[in-house]
Amino acid sequence: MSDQHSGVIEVLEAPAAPAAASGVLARLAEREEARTSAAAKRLQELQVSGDPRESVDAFMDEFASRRQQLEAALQAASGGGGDAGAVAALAEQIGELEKAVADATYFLPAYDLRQATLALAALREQQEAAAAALQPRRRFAFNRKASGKAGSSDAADAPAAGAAADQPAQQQQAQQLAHAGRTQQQAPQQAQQPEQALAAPPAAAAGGSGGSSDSSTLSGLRGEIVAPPREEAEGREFTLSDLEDCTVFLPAPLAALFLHGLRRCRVYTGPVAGACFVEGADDCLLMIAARQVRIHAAHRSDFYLRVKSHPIIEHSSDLRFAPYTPSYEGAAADLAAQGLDPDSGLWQQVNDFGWLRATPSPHWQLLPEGQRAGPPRSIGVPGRSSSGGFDDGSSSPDGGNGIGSADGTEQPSVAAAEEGRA
Amino acid sequence: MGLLSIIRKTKLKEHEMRLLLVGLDNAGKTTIVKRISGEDASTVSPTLGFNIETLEFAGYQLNVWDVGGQRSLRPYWRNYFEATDGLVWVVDSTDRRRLADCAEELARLLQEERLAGATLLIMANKQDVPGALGADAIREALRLDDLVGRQWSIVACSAVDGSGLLEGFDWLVKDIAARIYLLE
Repeated sequence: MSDQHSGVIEVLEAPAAPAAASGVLARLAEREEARTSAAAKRLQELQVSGDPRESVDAFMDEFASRRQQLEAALQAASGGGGDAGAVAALAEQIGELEKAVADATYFLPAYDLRQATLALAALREQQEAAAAALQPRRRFAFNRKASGKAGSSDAADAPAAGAAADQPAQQQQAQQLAHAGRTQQQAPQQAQQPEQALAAPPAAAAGGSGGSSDSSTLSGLRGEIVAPPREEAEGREFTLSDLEDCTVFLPAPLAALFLHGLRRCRVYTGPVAGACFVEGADDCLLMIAARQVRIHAAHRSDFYLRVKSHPIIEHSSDLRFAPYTPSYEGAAADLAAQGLDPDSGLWQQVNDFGWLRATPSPHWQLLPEGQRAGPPRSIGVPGRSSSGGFDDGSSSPDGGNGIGSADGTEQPSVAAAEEGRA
Repeated sequence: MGLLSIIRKTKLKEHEMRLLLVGLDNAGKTTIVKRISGEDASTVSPTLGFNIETLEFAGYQLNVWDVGGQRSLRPYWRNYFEATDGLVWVVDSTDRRRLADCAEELARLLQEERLAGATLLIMANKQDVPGALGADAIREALRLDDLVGRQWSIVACSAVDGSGLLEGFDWLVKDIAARIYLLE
């Protein structure tokens, strides 16, 4: 370099003869040399100290390639043939990439950072979808009983969880339950054959409650009439879920009652010591006595209640309320034992959590006296049709439905009760 | 003197603790409060809003905030988070169907920054009901063992017969006292 410079100087020197001029030129050349060497030095320093990892372009290039790899892998996994372990490993890789982006935030321009974050979110979503497809996430469910009819409580949870694979088995279980219900339904006809009626398995009616279990579940029934005998129901916690067009009699004091997803059902219970929790009831008639009543997501239903506290409704509409009618033999004594004997009158003081204003809630009203259904028509309970069943209802204000248990035709009486509601 | 020690000193002077009682609806929160304060719990209505109960317990004044758990009230829980010393999460041990819900709500609550320092007591309520899930099952369902950096305990209790209530509150108050008052 200096050779070249001296060459230049010579060329410049040639036309400029005076010594003063040559001094200026020498200074200029000196300065020029200092400048170029300093520039070279700076460049060198920059190369040494500059972290290649802080290069935006390099980072974005690497990010793009890793992202493409992940996308390809995800596509392969979600297209079938991938196993859960591989997808989980991909989740880890995405995590690493996320970390890399997080580490780079301090030097990445805002735009690139946003793009990277968006891309990562998309990746994450894909990965989760792939994982979900491979391994449908089950909702948490206990299986308390390892064998026997334990599945009945699972059956309540499974449809919500969308665990399609489990459906057939549970359907079968529901069928079994339905069969049990049918046995009960035929019970009134068997009234003249006491031995046979006694032989009807009462445990089955309780919806898969083994002798040791203290909670009972009725689930997935369609168009059944179920009436477990008093001793099967007494002191129990009951769950009725996913029932359609069913009539359920629980003529005994219960510990707790959960009703989920009932459609066009009728439920008549004895007093519930704890709370009755209803979630999802459409076009139902529910006659319940309890310490507390909570009603969620119910529509077009009638509630005949006796409660020790204010009933509450939430996310509900078109509900009608009326007082509870003690409807089976011994009901009065049961009510008294639970401290529910004098009606508190709270059944008509409903709190609506969806209507926190002074004006009356539009979601519920009192059922006019003339339209109230009478107590349920008698249902024969196997082996106890005379003592344990619902009373024949001589006190019924509604004289229209004159079909009792004697002839054993249950369907018309239910239809008659339906008329009462309509 | 740091801010923390100033706060400690004022709290010490007042001997007060603020407890927040939350959980899904129908868990029995109000019934628990009524029970420990010796009031009649049989006519408790579902809580529309919240109740505040002031109790004397082990030499401390407990301000118990019992907030309704209905779905439409849950968004308002956050209004009660400030300055909470102890968080009591009440679980209905008989409600298997909503346990997943319960775990989810609790997890959401524990992410809350303002509750980061609060001691957590899980009450597995309704043990008087035959067939209720035990404390171990609840612990598993709520994935409590996965909690990190949180003082927590679980107690099986029944607001109806009163079992386990004192035990639970005793642990809670002691733990908070040890934290705030540095074990006098």
